Amino acid sequence: MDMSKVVLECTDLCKDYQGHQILRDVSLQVHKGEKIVILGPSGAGKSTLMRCLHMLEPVKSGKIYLEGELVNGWEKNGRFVQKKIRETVAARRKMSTVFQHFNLFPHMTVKQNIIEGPVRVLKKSKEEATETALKLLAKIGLENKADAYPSQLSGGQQQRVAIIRSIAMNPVMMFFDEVTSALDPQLVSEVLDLMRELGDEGMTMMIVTHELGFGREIADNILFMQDGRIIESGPPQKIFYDADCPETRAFFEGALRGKIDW
Amino acid sequence: MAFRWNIFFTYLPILAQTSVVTFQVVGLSVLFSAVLGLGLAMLRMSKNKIISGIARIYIEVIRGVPLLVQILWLFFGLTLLFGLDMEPVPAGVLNMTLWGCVYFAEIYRSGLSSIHRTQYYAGYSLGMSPFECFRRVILPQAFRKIVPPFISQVIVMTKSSSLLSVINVQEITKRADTMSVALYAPFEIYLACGVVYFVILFTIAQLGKLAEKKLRVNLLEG
Amino acid sequence: MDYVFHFDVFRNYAASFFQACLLTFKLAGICIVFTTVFGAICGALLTSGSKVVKGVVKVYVEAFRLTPFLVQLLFFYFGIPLFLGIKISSSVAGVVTLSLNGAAYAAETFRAGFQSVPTTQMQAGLSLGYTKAQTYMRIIFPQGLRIVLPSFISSVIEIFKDTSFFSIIGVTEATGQMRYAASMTYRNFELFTILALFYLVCTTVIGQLGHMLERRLSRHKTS
Repeated sequence: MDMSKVVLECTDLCKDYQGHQILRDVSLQVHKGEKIVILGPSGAGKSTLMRCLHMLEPVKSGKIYLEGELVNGWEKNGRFVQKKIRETVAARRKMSTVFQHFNLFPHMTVKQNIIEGPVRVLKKSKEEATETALKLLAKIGLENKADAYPSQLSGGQQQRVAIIRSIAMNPVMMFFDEVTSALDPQLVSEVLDLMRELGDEGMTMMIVTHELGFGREIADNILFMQDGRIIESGPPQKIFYDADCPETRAFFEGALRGKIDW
Repeated sequence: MAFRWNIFFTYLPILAQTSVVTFQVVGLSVLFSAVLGLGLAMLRMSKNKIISGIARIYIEVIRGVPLLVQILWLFFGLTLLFGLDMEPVPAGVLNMTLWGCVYFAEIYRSGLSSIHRTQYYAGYSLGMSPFECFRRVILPQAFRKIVPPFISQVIVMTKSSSLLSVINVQEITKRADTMSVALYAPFEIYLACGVVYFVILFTIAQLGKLAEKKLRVNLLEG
Repeated sequence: MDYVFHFDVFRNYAASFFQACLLTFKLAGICIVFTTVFGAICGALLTSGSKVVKGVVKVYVEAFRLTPFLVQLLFFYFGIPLFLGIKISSSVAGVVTLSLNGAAYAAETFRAGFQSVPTTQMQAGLSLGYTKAQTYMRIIFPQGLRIVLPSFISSVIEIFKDTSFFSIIGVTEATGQMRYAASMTYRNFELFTILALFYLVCTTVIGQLGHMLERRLSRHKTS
């Protein structure tokens, strides 16, 4: 982790939906190689925050900087104007998200899924992209599934393919949105193992998860969110056991009592 | 009374030949409705509340009034209003098109909205523009989802074409009507009529299932 | 377009039209009841019946779904009496045909609904000492109906609209009455507009009732 390089930064992000405030003045920084885990109760805005940071959704106000550059809008005559989704292409392709459900494109084979981004967006040749795809598939032991369709794979296999589909884009950072929440328990560990491996190789990661043990283990920094706000942030030891804010304490006390097996 | 097989078998081929008219009428109607339905669906999904409202009202009216009443209203009512003299076949096609486009519009709309939001996000996440994402990710899936109900609607429209007999379109049912009165043999004739329709519709249904298999619609699950 | 609207001719026929509408409700009501009952039975047979039974029901369903309703109607009204030598009124012929037709579609709808009910529900019923039939009636059908309620309401609306076909075989329900009135006065446009409005109002009301029913039933869902 290189604390001197800030990969992603946002200031005062606000978002509302149908009168409901989903994000309130969220500001954060992500450093190169850092693993940030976002925890909090359902409805806290964790997934929305990541979608906004990756500019898959517009924010109401606030600025996002990728590698030092302002990417979600322009300064025009002293006013800040938001970019439309189609104008954020260049920045979007530098990051990648892995989703909880409906990750892969069901009408394409595994191989086609992986080469789609590199060929269409990064304008690589089909041969080059296919070579990379097969190498990545071999890395996770699924090279024999290259011509299978997603519906023919297990949930854990689909998620691992989704992760390498993201890697094929060579992103500067990756978002993981509850990627194991929809999986059967016995398939969760193969996905977490792959994420650990990625982390060891130095990928900058932002993770939303319910797997508190995994979160505690992999995180350099934990953000605790509630009601659209980051209540507290800090290293796992602090947040889990010695948090400053009462809301944080309350959440983890309940969680620790029930769920985690150390 | 015994079943008069001779009548059944003599007139079955004649009724089968009349299906050409049915194919023409239904073919044109499906073509026009499918295209018009696309336009209607786009109006319905428009961000402009007035446009989508008008589209919605049209859809609700067509769905709420029986096709027979629509045919009567258009052919006997509206033409009287304008002093027009419409030929049965064009009137029939017009009727079926105005009616059918609504159902196609709903098929398109529900096919598109059944694509989960995450598929859009996944496309954007790879760096696609909304247009590219729609073309490469959303549209292929929506197309496959639309095929089964599309085939269903073709079958429905073929069956409904039998109503055009009330405005004297010389299709299968009208022919059967004339024959059964002349021969005083409604049982045999209408049975033959039913058999002709059954064969046609069964074939369409089977072709539909084949198309589904080829497009691998079932793979879209999960 | 020089046409003077004469909606007032309707006044002469209003009373008989009203009666005709009542007849429409009556006929549609009978058909809907029969369709629901027979359709549910067939749906149950398609889900849990033996191979032979399933085959028979499938043949019935396909026969009615792959032929036009008008042809079925004409066949039953003109054909059956002549062939069997019995006399039936046009209303009876219409009701029988529409009920059988409606039940064929309903059978498919109910089959989908019944198959979506968890098999544990059947086991629970049987373990309480119910027969298969009783389990269907008291446990499977209510849950299955809830699942497919939107499709079922659609079918009900279709049945209501299809009563208009009866005018072709001479029943003076709403459409039949109006066609007669139109032939007497030549005020087709006005009369058929009123007729269309009648159906529109009725189908909208049925649809709204269906929505209300949906909302009330989903209040107590456990999943």
